Amino acid sequence: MTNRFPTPDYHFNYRKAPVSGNTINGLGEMSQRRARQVFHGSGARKLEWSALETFFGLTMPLQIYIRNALNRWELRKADGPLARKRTPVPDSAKMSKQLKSIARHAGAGAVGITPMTEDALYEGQTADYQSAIVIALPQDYETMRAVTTVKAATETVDTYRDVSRIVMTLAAHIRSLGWRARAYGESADLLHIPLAINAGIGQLGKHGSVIGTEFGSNFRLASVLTDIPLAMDSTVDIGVDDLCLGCQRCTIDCPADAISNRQQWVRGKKKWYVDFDRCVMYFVKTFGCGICIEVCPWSRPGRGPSLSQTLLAKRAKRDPT
Amino acid sequence: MSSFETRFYCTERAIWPRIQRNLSLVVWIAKVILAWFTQGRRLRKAGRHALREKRVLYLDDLIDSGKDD
Repeated sequence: MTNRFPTPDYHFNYRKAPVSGNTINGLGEMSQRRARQVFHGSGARKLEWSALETFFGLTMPLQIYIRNALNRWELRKADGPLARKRTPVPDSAKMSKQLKSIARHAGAGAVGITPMTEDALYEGQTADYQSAIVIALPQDYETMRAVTTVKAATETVDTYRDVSRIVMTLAAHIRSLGWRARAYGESADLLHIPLAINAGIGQLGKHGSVIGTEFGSNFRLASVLTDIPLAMDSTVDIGVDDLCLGCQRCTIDCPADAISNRQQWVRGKKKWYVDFDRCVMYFVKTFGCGICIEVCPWSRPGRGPSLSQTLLAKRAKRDPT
Repeated sequence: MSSFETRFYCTERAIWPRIQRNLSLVVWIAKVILAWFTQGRRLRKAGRHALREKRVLYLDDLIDSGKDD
């Protein structure tokens, strides 16, 4: 652990600890099931860790708190009425290309399309849509080097606002063609990470965030769920597991010691998993933390593509089949 | 309780439901901001005291906790 970051001691805690977030998340479970909300609740039900979430929100500096609240005003446009006349889509590949172009023009760093699957929904939730368009918007790397400070937290909130605007623009365009589309920006109703992985935005890193070729983990996600016919993207293998198996940067730098060096069973899948109970306390103390994203070697601007090439070449050499 | 999406997303074309939605969202945001100045003020003050006195602030004592379902 480096001493660059605040120490993991806390002046707040639970007198009676709630059920472990790792249990809620299904750590150690061998059978598949959908996720349960544990933090950043949608308001649909009171969560076991809601007191900590309330503390997190209400002890934020006003500049961040107000931004978050005002972002909600913008999010009212995430859904809306459809055009009366539906534009036929004879060529789904052409439509995908057109929508990706609109998203990129609006500022998206990466765009991927995937069929909508149940693993992107929490238990008890429904979203009757055919596909998901996932957008990744990079954060300013230099600003994010100040992780654990108000400055970096403000950049994160602003990135969520900007990526929300992109998905809202995209959803509005699709609705203007007469097809259902709902934007999910800073939403607690949708799990963006499984969708992003399926849409080929990147792969899951050991720090629990998606690592994409170009921006590493230094981006925020938002999605549009829609019924418009689209050509789907597929998952990618850019060598993230090769890096994470050998690299210990985030594991060492995480002051809360929340990142494991091995993949674990979570709801029936073996994958990288971050210890919720350790992570969340530090997350709350440090305005949303973000250390693991910032220290990841893949997040350094310009580094990703060559790093991916090197890792894949090494693997091919090691295992020519 | 219902989620933000359920409460404030409106797909109706008519203007009145959207005005109603906007009004209820303004009230919701105003309540959220007010909470920072009221409950938030108490929490931040208690947090500062705990930090200064090097003791732990127990969230269960100050914030309603637990499941409702």
